[in-house]
Amino acid sequence: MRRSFPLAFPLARSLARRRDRAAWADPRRRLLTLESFAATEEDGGQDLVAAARRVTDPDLRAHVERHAADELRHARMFRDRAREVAAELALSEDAGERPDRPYDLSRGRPGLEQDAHGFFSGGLYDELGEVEYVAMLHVAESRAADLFAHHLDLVRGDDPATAEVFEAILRDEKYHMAYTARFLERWEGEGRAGEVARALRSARSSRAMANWRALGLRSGAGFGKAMLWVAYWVLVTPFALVGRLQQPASGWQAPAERDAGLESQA
Amino acid sequence: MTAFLGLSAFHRDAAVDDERRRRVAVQEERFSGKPGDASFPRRSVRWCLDEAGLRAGDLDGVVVSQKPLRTFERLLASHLEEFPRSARGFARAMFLWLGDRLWMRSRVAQELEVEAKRVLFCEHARAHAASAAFAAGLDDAAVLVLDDVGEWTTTAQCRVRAGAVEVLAEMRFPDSLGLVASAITQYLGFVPGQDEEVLGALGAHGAPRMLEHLRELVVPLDRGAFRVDRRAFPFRRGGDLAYGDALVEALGPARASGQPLLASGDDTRHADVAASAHALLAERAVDAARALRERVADVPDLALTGFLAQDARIVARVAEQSGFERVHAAPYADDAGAALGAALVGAQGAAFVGPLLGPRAEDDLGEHEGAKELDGADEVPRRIAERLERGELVGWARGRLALGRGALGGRIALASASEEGARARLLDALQLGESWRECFVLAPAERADEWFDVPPAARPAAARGGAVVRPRDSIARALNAASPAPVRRNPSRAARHQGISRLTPDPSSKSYDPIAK
Repeated sequence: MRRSFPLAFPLARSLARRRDRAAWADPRRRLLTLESFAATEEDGGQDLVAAARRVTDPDLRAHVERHAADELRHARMFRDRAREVAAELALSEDAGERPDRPYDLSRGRPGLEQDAHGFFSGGLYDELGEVEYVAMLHVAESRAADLFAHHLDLVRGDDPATAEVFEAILRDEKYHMAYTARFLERWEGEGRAGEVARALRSARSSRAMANWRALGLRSGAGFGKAMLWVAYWVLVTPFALVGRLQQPASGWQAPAERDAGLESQA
Repeated sequence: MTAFLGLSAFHRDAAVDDERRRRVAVQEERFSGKPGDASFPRRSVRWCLDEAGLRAGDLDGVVVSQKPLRTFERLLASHLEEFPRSARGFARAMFLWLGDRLWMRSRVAQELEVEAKRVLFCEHARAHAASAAFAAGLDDAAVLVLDDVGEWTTTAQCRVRAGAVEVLAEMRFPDSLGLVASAITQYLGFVPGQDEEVLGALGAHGAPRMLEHLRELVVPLDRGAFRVDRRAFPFRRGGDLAYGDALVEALGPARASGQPLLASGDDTRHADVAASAHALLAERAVDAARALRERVADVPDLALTGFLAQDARIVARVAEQSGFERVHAAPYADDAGAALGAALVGAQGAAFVGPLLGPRAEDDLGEHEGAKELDGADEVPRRIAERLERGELVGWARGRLALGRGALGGRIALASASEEGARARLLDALQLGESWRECFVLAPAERADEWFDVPPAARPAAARGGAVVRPRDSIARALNAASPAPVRRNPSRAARHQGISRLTPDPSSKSYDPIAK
């Protein structure tokens, strides 16, 4: 669950709290939220595993490896808690209570092409280099700590088991922020202050851009789908009535006789 | 020079074929670590071009393994036919297609910086058929594509001759065995499109008690065809659920993700559902293969490919019962194979294409702590056998990475099968928590009797691969299962195993280490 607004905006903060409180209060959404956190941590862990292979500084590499292991462990903790919630719910087989799994017949998994921490994905370590990658981690972990503290605050009273998970993860986040800060300071001390400052600026703006784009996509997606839903009932109806009369034939059919070669999309 | 890049629709895997036969292919998930990564395969494309020594501008064509307008037509028609129940699926599908997939030509051209006219499109079934026949090194073969869905085609009977693929007959959406497998996977609380192996693996722990019910929902027609019940499998709606009320009426309540899995003890209902579904899929696959045999009676070889051909038990049943002299299963039967097939269709090349097409093990040796490079034919089996005898688990990376989800070559994890619970330990080490997941026993064929109960009638099939055998007690303890399992023959793997077995004690001493993978 990513927030679209920085928490500095009081109105945004209030809306986010209300929305997130509602999510934790609904058992089914709580389950989905935990599963989504698990997936996010898993993705982050995988990214870090890949990055650790490319880090040349042995000291930094050890930290990144530990960071990767932490993220994967967090994924397991969220997943275990999700299992407990599912068991507590004893989800009935009523269709309305089934977990809402998106099912795309074309097998695609449409995504925003953002990585686990809200950055654009695509071989980050390779593309960013060491300093920018660590700066990105530092900014992302600060944000994650903020986010988890926010959720801990929301669940502490009502869901102590989930709160325990957040507390354990927050301890790790502090370590992640500390080691990334230490490396950034070390590089600054080695005369690379300008490079570090640029990297931090870039990380913050990249994340802001990614969030802005995600917000735009989400809003656009919601609006676009709403318009398509309206179009379905207004425009599709007459064609649909004809279409329903034409049920497709089953069994072996001769292949389509319209092969227009490889150039054609049809 | 002619060179073609193949991309699997939609944006997942990449493969290159050029006239110097430099064929390379890799799945995007190998770089990103995300299973089924569907983002545009920038890294795999970059790797394929680098490996082949090409630049995007050198390519004669980039072939996508699907005709997008036909797929779009299918989506529109399906939603019209399902009106008004398809409202939600319509909005979702149209949003995705109108916003992205319909503009694939310009997207690919833009990403790779090639001219739009060089972006080409090949039917999905044709791409699968090409990769399957060429993977088996066959110049003249029947090919059965058992897929979920491409454009309209779900199942296709093809013939490949002299590098050309001819589609003889096809079954169309929504009559799809692959989608039935996905729907029942989802009914069992697993992720459709990703976890279908659960049907074979979990089914091995159950009995096909619900097979009769399922036969009524996937009805056989003439000449090996079938019709899928639209109420049980409402694929045309494109909604969140791929199964409908009729399936729940037939099989009982669905399992939600996270609920206990009923696969052992008194209640094995989920395992029984998986076993029944698996038996049904195998039955219909055999029917389709027999019908193809009648259509091309003079062709002795059948290549199987598509979504369902990743299932070794289904391949084994087809090999036993289809009537073809030889049955070949494509090692990359999934969409990764379609990317390679698309490149081969573009190049119109007919030549053997092995599965080991990805990055080399030695390229990233330094990236894995504790990894050691072993050299020499003797040292490799000796060192592995020593470690296995000490009770260690061994990861063995060798040569190029294999293409395809089910491909077993190149990267394997080994444990000694003489230990009780070896499978559980191996799965735990690989962080695969599900106890029903399968491992495979590697054993030299001529000594299979020592570990497996091979019925006399199945011996010829076992020798060439394609029989189903039951593990004897010693292996069953290691696997924690005594369920029948299919035999797959791989001479190179068997040879490697023999190399190891020479260095281990005699099996009669009870300390012999056959190897479970």
